[in-house]
Amino acid sequence: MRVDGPAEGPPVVLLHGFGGSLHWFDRLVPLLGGCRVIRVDLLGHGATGGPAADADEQARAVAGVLASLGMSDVVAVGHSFGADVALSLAETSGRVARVVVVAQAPDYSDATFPPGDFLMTLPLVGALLHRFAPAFAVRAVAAHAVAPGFRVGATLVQQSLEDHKALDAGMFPIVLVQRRRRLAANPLDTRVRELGLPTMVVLGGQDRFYGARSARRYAAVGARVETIAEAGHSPVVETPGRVAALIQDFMTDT
Amino acid sequence: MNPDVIVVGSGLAGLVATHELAKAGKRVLVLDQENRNNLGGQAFWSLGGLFLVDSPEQRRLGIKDSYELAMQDWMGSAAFDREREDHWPRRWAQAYVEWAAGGKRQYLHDLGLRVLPMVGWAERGDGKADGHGNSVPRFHLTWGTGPEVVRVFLEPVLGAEKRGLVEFGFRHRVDELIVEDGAVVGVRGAVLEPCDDLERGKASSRETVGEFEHRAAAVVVASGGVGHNHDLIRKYWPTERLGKCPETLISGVPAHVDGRMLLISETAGANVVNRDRMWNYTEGIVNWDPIWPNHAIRILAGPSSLWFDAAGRRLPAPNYPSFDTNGTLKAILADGHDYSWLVLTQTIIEKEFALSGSEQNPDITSKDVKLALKSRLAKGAPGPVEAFKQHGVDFVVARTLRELVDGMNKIARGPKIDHDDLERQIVARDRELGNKYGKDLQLAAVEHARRYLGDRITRVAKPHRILDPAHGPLIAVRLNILTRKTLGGLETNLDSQVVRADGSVLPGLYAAGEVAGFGGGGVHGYNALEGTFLGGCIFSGRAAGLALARDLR
Repeated sequence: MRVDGPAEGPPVVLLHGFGGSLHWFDRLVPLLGGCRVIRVDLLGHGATGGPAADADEQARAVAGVLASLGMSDVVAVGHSFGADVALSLAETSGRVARVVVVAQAPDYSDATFPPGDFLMTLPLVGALLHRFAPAFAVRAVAAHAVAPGFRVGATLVQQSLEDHKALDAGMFPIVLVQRRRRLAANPLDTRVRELGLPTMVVLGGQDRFYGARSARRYAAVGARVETIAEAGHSPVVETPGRVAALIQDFMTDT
Repeated sequence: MNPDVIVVGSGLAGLVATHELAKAGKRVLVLDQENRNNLGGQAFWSLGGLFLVDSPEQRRLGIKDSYELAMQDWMGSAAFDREREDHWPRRWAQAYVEWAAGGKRQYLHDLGLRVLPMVGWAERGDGKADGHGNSVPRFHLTWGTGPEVVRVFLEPVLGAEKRGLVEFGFRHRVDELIVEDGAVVGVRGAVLEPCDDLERGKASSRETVGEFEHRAAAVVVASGGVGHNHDLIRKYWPTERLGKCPETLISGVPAHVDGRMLLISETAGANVVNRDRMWNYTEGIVNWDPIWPNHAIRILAGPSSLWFDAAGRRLPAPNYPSFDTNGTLKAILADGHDYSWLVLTQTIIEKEFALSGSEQNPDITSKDVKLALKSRLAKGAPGPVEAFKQHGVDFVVARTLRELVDGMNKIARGPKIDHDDLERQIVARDRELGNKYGKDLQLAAVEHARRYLGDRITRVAKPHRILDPAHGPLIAVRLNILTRKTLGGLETNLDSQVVRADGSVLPGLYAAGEVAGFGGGGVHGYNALEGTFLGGCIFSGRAAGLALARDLR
């Protein structure tokens, strides 16, 4: 866990995506000047490690962190899989005032994954592939997470490799199989509507997983939708300035 | 024509905005006070340097660059310190570095632009990790220099002209922005005497032969800075920060770079910010073969030449060639004179002198590989440099230091140089060469630069004694202050919409390129990192074009 910014600043909790870590927000945090920013490595990820967990369990853990810090009325920002966690957190903890969904479609209905992803969902095979995944494969996945033409710098490649090493293999079936079913049964746009809290959705126009095609679905449930045309699946890394400005603007929206 | 958008200025920023608008099917009227030969404006004359971060070219040379390092350098150089006036510039700086580390190279590559494999290292900084300057080489030279940067946007725009989407009004000087109900709805101005045959860059007649008025849903001002308007430069010169404004200024840009649209836009309600920030070079020499009045060329010198003020005192560290433009300017002006001296050897001039500008680099401008290799790697200085050495009024060439000093004193505008004092300083520096280490920081910087392959091969001569006749003859160059860039300008938001003094958007008015301080009204803050001016024109012109294509019905 890491906390940045002034103690009296409006609280923001940043929730990273599948296979990531709190370092994916390293570029964003300095731009959220004045905010109290809380970041955690999710269960099965980064320095937290431990067994894999689904979004609900992740949300309970994050709620525990917020409780221990005595934080409420937070803005929960979830990137990719972190969006599921942000929504679960908002639904169950009562500590969230606003939700920001970054680069996450309501479900997998028209998502594109890197080739070979189904292998990762097989028991044992997935674990072995994960353990012995060559660096180039991890780099290829990292490249899929940004817009075409965006150059994944050495810092980010190194981070991806470390995050991959720290990742618990049990996360693969949770994200690739169970999550598909969950989202199909209860897509995020439905959850946003039922939640009833102010929600902003930030989409990358060149997102290679989801595109920005879900803009209309989110708008239909009353969310504020912002598309960053040149960003891919990781606007927090690719266009941190725009994302930070949007979050700060959203926080003062009435 | 009934245009959707009027673009004022057919320089790079105007062409980029027009290109993006035409791509989206909008009708554009482009007005410019010069003739068709001047399409591309100042960018045509430029060297075509582009600021890219963590590029494949850098990686191939083993340069480890990153968004984080580039942000550190940009913010250290910009040194933004004004709450209101730097609000949008800060936002633009953030967005621009993201683009330079992200999509910029691909965007230009898709348009057909290519860069050279050797990456240049400009503005090496003030010696502080968090201060001014580039931590690593980032200056990517366009294969084809400035004209090629113009071409990749001009060709599609001329295609759109054929299809009837774009129309040009040359010799149309805008004198007024029409404001109705608080919004800009068009332009009025004078038609200037035609001069179809006048060559590019030559000063043109100001005789008017008619008037015009055009209306559109939006006006994009992309008219450039104040670079040739010495009156405005003197008016806004930051004396308290840099010292007294030079009496002799020579012009690094053509006469049409007059800054008129700044005042015209201000009259219409636009906010102009950071006027006191400008970017003028200290290495100006008078062009012996001028195109525009008072035509100055900038020497791009490697780090080895010794730099003295007008009185012949060596400039304090780290004011070495290509390190810290504004810092050196201040050091030169500090003793009350407005010029300085470079003293070097034939060996240094051959390897370390380049001249800025497309016309001074015919090999790269014409994309001639053979000529480029021959002129850059063969013995002797490149042709254009040698021509200046022979014909330039600022050059002194001599076999002995005494002859050199006599020559310098003939062209000095200020105090006479004392031979013995100059000799003492040069001998002192030469003595420091005995070991691979020493206390002369400039020599350390030279050794340091040679650890970078690109510098070692093309840019930095092996250290040697200045007074060693084997490396002669000796050369002295009188360097004048050369006017170039306006770093402040019209305040704009990230969509290039012009902002009023109260912070609200002025409907209908957009600004891009140098007139908008390359974005926001001063994306560079106090100092530029180089290779950022063309890029700023492209980024802000593109922002205006994309925003209008999105918002216009």
